[in-house]
Amino acid sequence: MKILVISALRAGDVLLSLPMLMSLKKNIPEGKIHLLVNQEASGLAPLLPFVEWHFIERRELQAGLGEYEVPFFNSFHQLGRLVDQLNGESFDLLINVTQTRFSAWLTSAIKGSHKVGLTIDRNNLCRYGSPWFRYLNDYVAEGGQSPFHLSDIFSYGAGFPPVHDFQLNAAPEGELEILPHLNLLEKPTVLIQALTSDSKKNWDFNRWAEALRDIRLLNPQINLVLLGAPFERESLKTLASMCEDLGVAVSLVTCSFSGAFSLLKRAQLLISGDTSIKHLASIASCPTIELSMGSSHFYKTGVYRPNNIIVQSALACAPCSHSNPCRFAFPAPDQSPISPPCGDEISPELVATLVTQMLRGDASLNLKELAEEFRSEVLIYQTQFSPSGYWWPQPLFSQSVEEVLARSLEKSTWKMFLNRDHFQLVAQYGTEVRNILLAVKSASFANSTKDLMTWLIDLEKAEQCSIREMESLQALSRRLNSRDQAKAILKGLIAGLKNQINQDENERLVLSHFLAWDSEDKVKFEMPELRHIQDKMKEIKDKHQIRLKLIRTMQCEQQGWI
Amino acid sequence: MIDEIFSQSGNRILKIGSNYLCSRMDPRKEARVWVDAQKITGSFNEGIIIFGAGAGYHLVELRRRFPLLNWVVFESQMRSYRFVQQLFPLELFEIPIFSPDDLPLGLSHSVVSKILSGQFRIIIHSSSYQLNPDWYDKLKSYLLGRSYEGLQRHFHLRKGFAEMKVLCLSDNREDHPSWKIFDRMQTSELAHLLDRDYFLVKALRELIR
Repeated sequence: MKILVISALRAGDVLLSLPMLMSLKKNIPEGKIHLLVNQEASGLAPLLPFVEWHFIERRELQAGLGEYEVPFFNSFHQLGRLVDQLNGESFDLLINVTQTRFSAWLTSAIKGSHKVGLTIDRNNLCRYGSPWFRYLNDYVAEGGQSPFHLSDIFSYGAGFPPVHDFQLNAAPEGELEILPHLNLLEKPTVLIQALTSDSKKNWDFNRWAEALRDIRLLNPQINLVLLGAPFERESLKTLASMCEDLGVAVSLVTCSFSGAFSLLKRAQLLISGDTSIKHLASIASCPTIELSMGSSHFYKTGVYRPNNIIVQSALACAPCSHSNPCRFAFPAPDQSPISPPCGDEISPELVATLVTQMLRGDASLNLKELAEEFRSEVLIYQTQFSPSGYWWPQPLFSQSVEEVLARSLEKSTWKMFLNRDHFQLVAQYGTEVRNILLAVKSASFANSTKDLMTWLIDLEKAEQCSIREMESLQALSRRLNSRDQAKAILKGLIAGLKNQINQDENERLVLSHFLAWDSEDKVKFEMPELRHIQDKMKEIKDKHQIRLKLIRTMQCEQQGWI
Repeated sequence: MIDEIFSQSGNRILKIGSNYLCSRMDPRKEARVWVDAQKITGSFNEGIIIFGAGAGYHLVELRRRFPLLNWVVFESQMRSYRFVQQLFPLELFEIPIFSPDDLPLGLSHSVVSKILSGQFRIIIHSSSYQLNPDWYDKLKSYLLGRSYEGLQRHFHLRKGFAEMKVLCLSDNREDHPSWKIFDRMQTSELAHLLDRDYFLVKALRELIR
């Protein structure tokens, strides 16, 4: 079986698909995996020798399209040759893990017996091949709250649970590259990846320097090494000299992905922003402290290994939108960039203390105390895999039982819904509920306001109401097929959904569709769009029904009936 | 003023006005360096258009090194054109070289059509180009498909594109067509494209949004 995985964004995005690749390798041992990525990610190739690599020369293609000196059709022929070459492989399965229109059209151009992930047909209709990829498009890309990790979505979308525990060998070229730096690794080493691809995600250099000074004070026996790509060398030299001014000696290593992986394999800890290096660290099993700033959405892209730490500002705007500049970071009078306030919330002392705790080994108890102490400024999470199998950032600050239960319930509902478990003759509600209760046990709690059974009964009532409400809205939406009284029906639907908005996140999306229609004063409804909304309403009702069954199973569990 | 003289290496060379069309020292050595610098792969899908026949030495070297290459030459100076034909009748036998006199014939020549219908590039011989840059620039714009007329020719050479009409996006005909022209096309026009080509056009359009 030949499988082509298309990941046409950055190196970090390619690494996010690694748990899926390992899952494919495990579940289809006879399968031959090919990977189509942008040329910029080619540095990862030595680390994944079991994959056959193909590259998109994206910059060359773009230059060919826009530059006057290049024949008009050159990029067309160049991309066409790549597609023909891939078609020559006769793939059985295509998996597009990139949620862009470019990758969707490209996946449509490549032949494959079965396709999952976004594709677009000649009628401009999007197809996903899996509810998980539809979820990625309709819910995650629309800013849905607390979504599944992208690695989980890719794996489940490809049809297999993700592989959580896997090892990769260091590449020979990486080992060779770090030979001159091996003396640094004789002592315990903390690597620092200070720069990210987006200035919004960068922590201010002054703060880095202060944090490194504090780390050195608390841990005089360790080596501090600034890590970066060769093109980042000059910027990192500035940080190194700022550290020197504070009396802290740091080393500087710039290297390829292979070299970085070899270093991470030997290091005791990595401190990083939202970078591809943090994903490499998770593969190298190097403990990591992730400073999540700006548009970094750790729910989607956090370190995909258990027992790592994520720190994010407690500001309401975090994480912000990917494409817009920070609303609160104004340039200084000298026009030098100012770090966004979410970075200012993370104090150097906190980072230094976290590093010290992490270096001491299992210190989750102390970490919880720290999380409580700094709760008003930052939120601290510990990564883990839930008993249900998905990645989850466990808050180290205390939460109520209700909060933890509600969150686990929502995740399990989504998972059962997206895996289409509710269509099975015998769905695994009992197993899922036990997994939810196991997740609850591992969380830390503030005082509960009411007893669990009362809360479950209230939840059951709310779900029953929601299902009835949804059924009536579905009936109302069917009348939108006719233009008569369309305006009045639309108003009724909007009012109904507004009442429901907090019951299911998907309702917000459907409501936004209706509001758009209402604001444009449309009374003529496009059938495909209407059908899409009606499908969505059915999905919402299905989810309510799954949630209701889980709640009832939980009630039985609480009463000792299971 | 046109002079035919000898280089220090004893080769016949050409001087038009104050411009020498090749090295006065050793035109064959210069030709070898010139061909090296073009980084030609010689692969079967590579088409080459040479602007400038010069004194012909670089063309001879090119043919010697890549006998199976798909290439064609345009030369704006009749004197240079004749000089090359006379000096290298055998070495450049059957290599299409076109002058301003036979330009319409050249543009519709089967080798030119074959080159334009695939991936190709234009290589400029600087000494020849400097003698008539306007003529070469206009020709380049046409051959690259960066003029509306040139692009229509490119469309005619491609299956599925032939039915499309290249519409000028602005009032200024001097503007160059861009990939945005596909946005203006009717669905019925794009319907002639094969699936592969349709999806490629759509994918590439996304790269310049």
